[in-house]
Amino acid sequence: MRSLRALWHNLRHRDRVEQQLDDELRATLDLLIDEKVAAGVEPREARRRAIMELGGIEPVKERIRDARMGVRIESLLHDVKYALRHFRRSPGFAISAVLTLAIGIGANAAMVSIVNALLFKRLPVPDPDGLVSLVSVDDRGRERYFPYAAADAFLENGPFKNLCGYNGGGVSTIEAGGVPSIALYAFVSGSCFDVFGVSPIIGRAIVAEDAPWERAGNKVALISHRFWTRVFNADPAIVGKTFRVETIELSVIGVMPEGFGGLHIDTAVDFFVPPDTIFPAPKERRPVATQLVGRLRDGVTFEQAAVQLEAMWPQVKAATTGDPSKASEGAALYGTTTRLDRMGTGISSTLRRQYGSAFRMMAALTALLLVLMCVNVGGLLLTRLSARSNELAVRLAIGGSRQRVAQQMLVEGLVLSIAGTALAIPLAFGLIAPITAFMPQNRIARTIELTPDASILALMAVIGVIVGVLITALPVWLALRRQVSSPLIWDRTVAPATNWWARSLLIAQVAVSVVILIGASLLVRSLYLLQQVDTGVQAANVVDVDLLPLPRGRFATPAERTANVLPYYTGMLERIAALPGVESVGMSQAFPRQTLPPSTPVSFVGQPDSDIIASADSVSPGFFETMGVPLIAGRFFTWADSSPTARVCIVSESLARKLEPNGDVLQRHIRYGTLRDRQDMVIVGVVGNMTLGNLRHEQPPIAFVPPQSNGVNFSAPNILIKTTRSMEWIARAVRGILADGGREYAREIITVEELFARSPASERMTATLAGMMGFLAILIAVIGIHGVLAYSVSRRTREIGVRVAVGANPATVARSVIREAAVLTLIGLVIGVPVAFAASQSLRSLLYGISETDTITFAAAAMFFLLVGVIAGVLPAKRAANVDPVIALRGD
Amino acid sequence: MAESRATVLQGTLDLLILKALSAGELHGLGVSRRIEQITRGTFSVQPGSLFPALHRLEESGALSSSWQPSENNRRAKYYALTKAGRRRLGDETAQWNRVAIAIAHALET
Repeated sequence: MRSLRALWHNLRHRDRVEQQLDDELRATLDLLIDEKVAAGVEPREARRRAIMELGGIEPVKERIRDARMGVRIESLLHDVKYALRHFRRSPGFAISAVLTLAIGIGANAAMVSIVNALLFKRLPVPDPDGLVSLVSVDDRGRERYFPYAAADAFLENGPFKNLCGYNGGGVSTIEAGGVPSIALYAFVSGSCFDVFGVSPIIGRAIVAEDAPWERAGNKVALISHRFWTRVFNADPAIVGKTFRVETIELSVIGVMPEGFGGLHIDTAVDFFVPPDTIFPAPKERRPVATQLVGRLRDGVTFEQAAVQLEAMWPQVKAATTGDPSKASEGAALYGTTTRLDRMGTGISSTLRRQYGSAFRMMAALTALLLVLMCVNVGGLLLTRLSARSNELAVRLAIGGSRQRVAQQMLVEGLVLSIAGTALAIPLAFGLIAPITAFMPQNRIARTIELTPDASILALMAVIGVIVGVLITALPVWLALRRQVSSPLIWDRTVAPATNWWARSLLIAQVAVSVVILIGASLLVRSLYLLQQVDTGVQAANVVDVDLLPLPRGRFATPAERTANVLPYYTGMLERIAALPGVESVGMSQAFPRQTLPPSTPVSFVGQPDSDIIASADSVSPGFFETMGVPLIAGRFFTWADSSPTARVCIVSESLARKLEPNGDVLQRHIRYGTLRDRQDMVIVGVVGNMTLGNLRHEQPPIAFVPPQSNGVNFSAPNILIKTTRSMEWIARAVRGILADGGREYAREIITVEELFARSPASERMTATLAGMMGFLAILIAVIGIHGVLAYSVSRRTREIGVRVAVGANPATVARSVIREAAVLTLIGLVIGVPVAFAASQSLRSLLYGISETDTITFAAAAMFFLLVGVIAGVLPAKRAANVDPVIALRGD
Repeated sequence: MAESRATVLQGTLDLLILKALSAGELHGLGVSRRIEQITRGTFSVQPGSLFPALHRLEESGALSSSWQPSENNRRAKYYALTKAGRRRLGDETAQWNRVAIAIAHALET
């Protein structure tokens, strides 16, 4: 209490306190003099001795101040004021330093927010890290499933406190109030919501009675807050309302709290249903869960549980799946083992896989950029330190403690970094939206939250302080290290120590910049190559219509579907072809949205399995003509090929070459995969190589089949329309035709060109961001080189003046400056290029068509940097050449 | 002896100041002279150490201060023990005695 009052007093009445301090010490001095005079010393000598005994009034005052309450705060305020005054005097430096730091900190905060949301955010359930998931894995590492009944068996003697079956990631069209839309669902067994520990905000959860093992579950749905808002306009009387999925009518029993979307972190579930509700399983099979989710008993460690479950699985499998020799799920699970996963961050269906590594890489590059920026600002502060060496020397000489000088420099750095952080906050918020806009809006709406939250802001503050300390670390250290003995002669004409450090920092900047530049160049070139890929199709003026079925449009039986599907599509294509301005029209199942790599083996009938792997697509007559794919041999499809007896196929040239490198494949019989109707197909044509949608797979081997072959039909195909009319006009016309059909709707209508352009989305994102960072890195390096050399020239004005005066050629002087720029850059390159070489290994998975150690890229980046370094030295060199010896030598 | 005149044993300065002031109020120089006197010249406290200590003790409430005319009629800042200061003197004396006995004992054996 007392000390607080003293603190207040000291701060509040600073002037009075100072005055009294002065009075007290002067009085003491007078007393001392009196004492000595009284002892018989002559007055002037007495005064001298008194001052010596006291040890100087100012140093004593300084020590008293240090002992007093609030000395820290007081001196801190003083330092902040001093720093601000200082920066006001050189606004150019202050503004560029603050901006640099703001960009660095803001970009890092944005990246950390995204990486956090994508990779590390916990599920919104109580104790998310207590959730574990059990999956079965076959001998090829593929994830299989569990019978729901296995949950009970594992629960009985296993390490679980609770356990339920979960089967997420389903996507289907739903219809509520006559409006179709896409929704995601998950099957849950009865105890899942006890496991999660989350209760509905309206109505009730799915319970055991809704999801019995022995029969299909009740036709009820527990919906998410998002679905409730989107589809039902947050209707408070929602319980009992219905919506359709496929042919099933589901009745809503409750609404989950906002933010809860099941276990998938990026594709939130819209509704939960009991197993076996929407798609009834065949008679001989019981419903299965892709994973069992639960919480471990208290005291059981994750590792113990994993071992115990592995040991339990054979018994549980035998008890719940039946005879493994029969074609049952027992056979499918034969040879499987179990794997226990931690579920704290949930499951990610695509985003994490697709963008996780890209964002990690971007985050690493951004962090590197921040380091570069710190080095840059630190170097500039250092050069300014030597410019201020006189001021500092005077301060030390009149009794300022070295700690105080260091503290003051630290405060200067912190003032810069805090200003930078303050600017970085709006920047970070602003950057997140454009960065995430690179992620495509898939069929499934993104549900990940990407706004910076309190923890990110706290992290930014921490980064800010660390940056502040980093940028001043070297100046502070140098100030503390300095010899007291030589303060005043320190650095009048040259400052070897500071110069040496400034040059080292400069070299470090060049090294870091070149690492960033090389990484960026690799990614940009990779994107360029990806965009230059020959798609093999004429995408210009072709519109793609992505069809999805309406629930009410389904046929009741497969037989009805087989009989009706072909007339439905032929009729539709005829009507579209008859539209004015339509040149041709065709349909395809996979093209142009296929993203999976070829994965199915193809062999000649009657020959052993080959190791040729191909993709497949079903395409209608007119498809190849519409897409401008050339016929190389044989013929295109006709509608007659879709008869139940015809078994024909067309292969791409790349598949033909693989099957028969030199010969003819026409009229040969091939089998494709394991589907029954594809075990014997006659090749009737060979077409040019083309992409199915993923540009990373160049000229994939493809087997094309007709839209209907042996009972397998188009489902949710694409219509491709080559037209001279505008896309909007075509879209309206096609939607009208679809509405008349009443069975499907267009999820998206887009030109094929646009679709291809947005295909390398993650590549475009990394290339754009990395390109921006590369540009910033170069800019910073140029500022750094220019700053250090310009400073060095201005310090050497006298020396240069002397040299010119005694006959040196100004051009020689200028050349020496440029040479210095070149040498410094070169040393930076010698360090940076090998580092880039090592670091680029981590880029390998992100690159396309270019090696991560591509010599041309490395050489070009290094040459470019050398050029940039020399150019950065030109201005200082000019200034050095223009030094007028008369003026230079007149100084001081 | 010159060595020990220059330095005051760490931590004993506060005790010596409190003791010096226990007989009555003194100004800064008076405290210094008084310490020399009561330690028979063993300790001489430099102003650079004395004044910070005085200010620290005042802020912690052990001392109070007032401006008064000095013996030769100059204005000087006089320090006096407060109640808390007396209590602290008692505590620290007892503490010191314990330490001194312990050290003496340790050195004898």
